[in-house]
Amino acid sequence: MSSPPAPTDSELALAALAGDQGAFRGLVERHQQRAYWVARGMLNNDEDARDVAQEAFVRVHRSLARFDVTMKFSTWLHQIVVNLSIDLLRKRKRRAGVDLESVGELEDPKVEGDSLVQQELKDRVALVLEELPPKYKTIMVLSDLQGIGAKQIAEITDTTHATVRWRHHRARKLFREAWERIYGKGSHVF
Amino acid sequence: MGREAMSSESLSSESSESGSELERLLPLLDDLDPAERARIEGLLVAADAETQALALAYEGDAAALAACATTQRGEHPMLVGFADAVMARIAAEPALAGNIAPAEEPQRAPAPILRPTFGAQLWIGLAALFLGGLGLAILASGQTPTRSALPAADLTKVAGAGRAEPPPVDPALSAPTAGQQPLLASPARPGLRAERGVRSRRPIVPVDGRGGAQQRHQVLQDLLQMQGWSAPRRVPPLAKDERELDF
Repeated sequence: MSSPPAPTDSELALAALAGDQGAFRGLVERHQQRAYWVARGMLNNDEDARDVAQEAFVRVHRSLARFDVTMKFSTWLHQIVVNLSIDLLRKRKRRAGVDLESVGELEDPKVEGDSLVQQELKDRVALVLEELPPKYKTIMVLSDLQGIGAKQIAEITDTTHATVRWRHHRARKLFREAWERIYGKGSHVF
Repeated sequence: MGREAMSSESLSSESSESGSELERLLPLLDDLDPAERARIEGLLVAADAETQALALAYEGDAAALAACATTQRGEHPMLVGFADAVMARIAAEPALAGNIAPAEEPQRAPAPILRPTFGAQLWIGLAALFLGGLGLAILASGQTPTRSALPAADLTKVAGAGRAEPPPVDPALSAPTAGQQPLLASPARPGLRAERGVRSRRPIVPVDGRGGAQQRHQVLQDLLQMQGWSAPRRVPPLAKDERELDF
């Protein structure tokens, strides 16, 4: 006898709206990793990423009554995560700007299982991503780091599919320019 | 996913890169149309070393990003207790806790609709006060003496009526003496009086300083007449061929 299929995100959202706290907890547990890693890619800081992800879930809970069940829950959640992250990036920029040393201070406790090479690579990529304007950084985090398709990114960023594709292309160019600016022209990642 | 093929023409037109046409087509994204990708890769084979190095660098970037992506999908220590923290935050905020009400919580009666009492009623009250004050002001201004509102008796007073009244004069003394012509209005007066209707029957009362002097002159003439003086005639003496006529 097969187990019943897991409820969809929309079903959990509707159940949560009806008063089922367990359903909302199920939504959190299902999407917390992706929400955290999107914020982590945008902010390059573990605590900020956790706070932003938590705040995003709280805001989702506040707005459950306005949730459009025809929309993907993850798209809605990522919209909030990205917007909160960009807001925080702007606040950081207003405060003091981000220099290389401060990025180093923001580094997190290392993820278990990462090799030194992988960790070094992550640090370098994160440092270069810091150089990108938020709209390009968002595209690279969602597409290259999270593997989200261009169509869903267009919904998350509230732009057209063509705009996402052009921004992605432009973002990769900017990433390369920033890499060469930091690590020298002609330097390769591998 | 239904990804659309990326047009190299559109990219080259949107891009602001100033390098060669081939460099502007780089990097080759994963969702590029296969035919377009094959065409660009064919061009790269014949490209110069710098362009080939750039293409290689882009491939390295893609590999690095893919490696980072694989390490960013695992469980992070910061996510331990994440759901508990979110649910605790929701429960800590009363407004949020009310959004998801426990199923066993009894239904409460709807709260009475409270209507503010300081809306239209306040304005109506203020308007009434304003109108009342305006009415009082109009009444107060209506008590100011005007020519049309004065009684007929008051019209006999001379200007500066607030000052001391002149001594009463015996009507017999103040009557014109024999042979003395009474004061007549100008010839235009009767016409004006006829036009003014009722007001034309009111006595002509001097209201300026000259009128007061004329009245005093009348009183002086009366006194002189009492003492046997004949009042000077206003008309020259009759000539021999003139005679008085009574009208």
